[in-house]
Amino acid sequence: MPNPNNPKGSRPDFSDVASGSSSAANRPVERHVEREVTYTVQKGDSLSKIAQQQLGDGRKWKEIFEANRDQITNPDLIHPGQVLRMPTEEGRP
Amino acid sequence: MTHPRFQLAIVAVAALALNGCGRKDEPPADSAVAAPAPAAPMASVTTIETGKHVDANKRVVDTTSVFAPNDTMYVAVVTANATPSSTLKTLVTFQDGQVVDSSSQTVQSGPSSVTEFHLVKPGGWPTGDYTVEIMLDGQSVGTRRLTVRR
Repeated sequence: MPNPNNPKGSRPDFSDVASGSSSAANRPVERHVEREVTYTVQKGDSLSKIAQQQLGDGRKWKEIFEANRDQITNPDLIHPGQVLRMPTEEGRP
Repeated sequence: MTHPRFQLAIVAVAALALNGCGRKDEPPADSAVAAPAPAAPMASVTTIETGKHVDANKRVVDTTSVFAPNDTMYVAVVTANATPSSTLKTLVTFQDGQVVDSSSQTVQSGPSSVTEFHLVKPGGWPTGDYTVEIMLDGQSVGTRRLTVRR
């Protein structure tokens, strides 16, 4: 059967084919799923109030503060509508 | 009074009978042979994947049998119960049977292993059909038909 790549009928040249191989244990793919929990600041909120509501402990306001240092410079000053990242169990030491 | 010869015969018969009873209690000579150990599971191929890319675990991430002339061809073979001597071999042929490549790789031993083979052709693959035959320890375990199109 003629090869359409080779109208002259010559066989293709595979001398430049390079191959490689390797073997390893089959490990199930571990996919790290980022679970980001957020909270939108309401009027009258404070970090300690949010910590109490969301984390069950008002003293954990520092964790919220640390997780949002990029948008909170003064922990006593947060604004309604701000979306804060809430620390999760995975992110805690 | 009993004749001494008759007494001797009785004693002899009794001795034989006792001896026979004793042997009945002994186990047969061949009953001590240990039961054969369960045979180790045979190495086998469970999955053959072809595609253009593999992930860090050597599994094909974009399974396909159609390639472009400049693509790298990947064949990932999943084996079960590979031993340290298990070897996979691939034989790639072009449509008319022309041998393109033949590679072999010792399989990582273990309950489940992945072995990847890859082929590149800097000058570009001629369009047409290719056949990849996979062999495990010399026995053909499957073939895959690949097509190269522009």
